[in-house]
Amino acid sequence: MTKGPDTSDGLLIGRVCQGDQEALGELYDRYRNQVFRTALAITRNRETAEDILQEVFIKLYHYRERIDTTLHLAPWLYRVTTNLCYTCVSRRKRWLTALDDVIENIVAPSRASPERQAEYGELQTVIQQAIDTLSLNQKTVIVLHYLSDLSLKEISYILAVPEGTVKSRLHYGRENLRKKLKNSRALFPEVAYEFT
Amino acid sequence: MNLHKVDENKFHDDNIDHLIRWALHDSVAGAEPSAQVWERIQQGIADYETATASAPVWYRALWQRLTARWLAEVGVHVLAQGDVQPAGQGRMYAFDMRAPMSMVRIIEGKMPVVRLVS
Repeated sequence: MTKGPDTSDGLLIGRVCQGDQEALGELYDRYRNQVFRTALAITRNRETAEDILQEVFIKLYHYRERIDTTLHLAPWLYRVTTNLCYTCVSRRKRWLTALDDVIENIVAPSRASPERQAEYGELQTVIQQAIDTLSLNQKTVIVLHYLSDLSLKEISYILAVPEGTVKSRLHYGRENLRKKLKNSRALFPEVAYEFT
Repeated sequence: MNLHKVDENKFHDDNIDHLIRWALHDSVAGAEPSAQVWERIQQGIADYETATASAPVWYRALWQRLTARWLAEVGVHVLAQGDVQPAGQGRMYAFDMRAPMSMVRIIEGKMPVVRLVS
């Protein structure tokens, strides 16, 4: 993995190893938003994202002696974050499936209403919904690549899967999004967008 | 990067990367964790330190054995919970509240292997 680390990360971890919690606080201030926003983008739940952030830094403290200070800290943090996201999302799925079914039945009629359609007219919402329908594997790669701006190699290390697998998940994730967004054109039939 | 409406009735395929990036960034823009998270981290560390410092000798030995292998996380849970009971023949029972369904674990004495038994 990437050599030539941010030396101050290494120094701070060294201080954490000596029980210096202020150093941990500095690392927290440095990385909390990155970790929190990645967890939030994957789990789509603020409370869960905060729990994950908390767990990541407690793990950092527990495993401080084992962290290689010659490497960048960010990939390690992303690795723990995504692992915790996987655990949380799959646990939540298991427990909430039945509840979701009930909610689905209750709200299904109103979902088809014009008001609801209009509510979904926001482009951002449409794209976010499309992302939410991706498999967890594809969604995680999409978030790490597009939100965290990580390379395929870095994502490969973080998820502990071959680079080819990352490439494939990214490709199929993109293709799925492309299809879903094309199908969603009914929501904004006369509007196109461009970036400048 | 700014997103603008244009008058064409076209969906630009080339925009897909920009759209995904924009939507993701926009969805979490400005989101920050509450101040309580850092307080909870400090509390979690304090609990962990207390558990390890006050643990009996056999707890600490178990902890060292677990951390020497891949079971460090279980060791942390076990010590943090403080709920391990020796069960004879070198085995110990551990009750981990954080595990799904509150599964009971058996930690083998000779080899630190954890089996989920229920």
